[in-house]
Amino acid sequence: MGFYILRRIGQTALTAVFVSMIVFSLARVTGDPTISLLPTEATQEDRDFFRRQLGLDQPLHLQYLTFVGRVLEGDMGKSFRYRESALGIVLNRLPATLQLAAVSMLLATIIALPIGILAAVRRDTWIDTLARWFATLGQATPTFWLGLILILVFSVHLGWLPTSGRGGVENLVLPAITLGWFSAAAIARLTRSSMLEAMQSDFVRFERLSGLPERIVVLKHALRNAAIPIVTYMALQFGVLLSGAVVTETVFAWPGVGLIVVDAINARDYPVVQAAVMVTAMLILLLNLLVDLLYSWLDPRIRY
Amino acid sequence: MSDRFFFRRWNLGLQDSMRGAPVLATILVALFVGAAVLAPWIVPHNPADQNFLVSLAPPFWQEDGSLSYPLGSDNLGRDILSRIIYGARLSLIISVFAIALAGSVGVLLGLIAGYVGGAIDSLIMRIVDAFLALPFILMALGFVAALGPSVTNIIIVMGITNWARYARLVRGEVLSIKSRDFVALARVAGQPRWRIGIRHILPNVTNSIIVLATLDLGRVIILESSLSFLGLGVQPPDISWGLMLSDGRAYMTVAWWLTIMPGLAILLAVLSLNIFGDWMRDRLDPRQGRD
Repeated sequence: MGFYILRRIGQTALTAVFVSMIVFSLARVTGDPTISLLPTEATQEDRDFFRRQLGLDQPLHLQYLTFVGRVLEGDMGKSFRYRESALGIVLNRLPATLQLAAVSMLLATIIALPIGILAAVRRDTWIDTLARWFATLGQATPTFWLGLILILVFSVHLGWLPTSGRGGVENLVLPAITLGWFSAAAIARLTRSSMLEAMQSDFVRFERLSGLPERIVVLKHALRNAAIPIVTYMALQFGVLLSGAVVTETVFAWPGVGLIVVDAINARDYPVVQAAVMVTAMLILLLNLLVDLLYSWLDPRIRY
Repeated sequence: MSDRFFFRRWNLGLQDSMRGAPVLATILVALFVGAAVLAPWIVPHNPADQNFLVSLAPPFWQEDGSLSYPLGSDNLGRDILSRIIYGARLSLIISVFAIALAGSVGVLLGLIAGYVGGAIDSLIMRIVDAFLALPFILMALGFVAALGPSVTNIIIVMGITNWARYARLVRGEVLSIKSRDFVALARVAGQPRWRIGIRHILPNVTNSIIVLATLDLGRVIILESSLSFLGLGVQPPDISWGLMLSDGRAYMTVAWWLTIMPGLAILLAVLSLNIFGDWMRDRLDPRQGRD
């Protein structure tokens, strides 16, 4: 067990190194930053001076090591636009994104679990058909389009909910439905298949035979057995929500990490883009690690 | 005589291979591909033609609608139906090439990882993990912005952000095939390793790859339209469903069809591709899990 945990943490660290390389290369493919940073009338000497200042005259592997060293100190450069720490800007916006993702996850779970369970219990009835359509449709709907439709119906026509911004609960409803929709479909689909598998297992059949009420068999015993894959999947879906938030935040002008990234990209403010990709990727890596450790703790049969 | 026999066999073969196919989804997929391929010959109007006399015309079933603009027109008086048909073309081109790129890179690395094993395997798999952990849309946005949003660059970016799942799938399959007898026999017979990989192992994983690629088409179509919607994908004057949605946003209150129609096109294309892909998985690769 201890060995497994250490190995898994080691793997995550190695993966994190590769993530940092990809993020580093993101900055390098943008080309010569002096072109966008300096005025067009700058002389060649100005440019050379600036390149030395940024360390761009060093060989690539040294540039990378400097980059990693700074990242470890929490320094991801200054935003070209705001002259502030890029990491600070991203971390400032992170709570808004986390809030949106958490509410979306909650909403998705509340919708998906009952649908998935009911579909499995009433297999091959109209309820099951409906649930499967819900799952199939949900996974084929483009997020931003769903957001636009919701705005069209609930804000433009009915005038019930605001179209944008962050504030009270009424601001959260539409973005949370938009972002959570895909995950709700995905979780419902997995809940259905996990429950079907659990319901066909020997001990559930045995409990049925022993005369336990169906409700208890389903909710207490079958569900508990189906829970591990469902919970794991939900944690992974949270990562999907974090990175998918870009689109939803743009549609609803939700002031999170995603919105600032799109702004930063349009303004060629690459340090902010890098910091955002880095922070989100690290969060997802940590989440994956936690899920794996939790998994091995919940189900001791798993040995790697 | 022999022609007839051949045709009959071909027909029976086709019937057999399509047995149990979801009818509506298959028709929609065929429509999507047909529209994409035949776009220049079937559009009722030139999709770029502006006609201010009919700007913001509603779909034909509405009061002011007309059959010459069946799905209505946009603020510049361009025909929505024609633009949707051209949008299908670019959507299909981008997603097919992106998946071909992602698939080739992923399959090659997955083959190497699974077949060679050891340190190379662990190295490749950690890179796969890194790519799977990266926030996908953010990455794609960043790279497209850095390289410049051209169709070629969008394809390259979707290729490099999507290969990891192919590598993981192929590696897993290779590991299970590697230990089978026919591979050991080929080795005993003195075949070189690269030849065993290509001649004996690859053909056994093609079904899984085809299934994953089909199911990926829908995902990539949504991704492309999201990028274009955010202004970092396809650029005007090229036509993309995501771009149409982003253009139509300003007219949402007066012209709902600018928001509904292109979105429905995406939804139906992705939905039918997914249903078709699910059916193919059940048929070609029943072992691959439902989720």
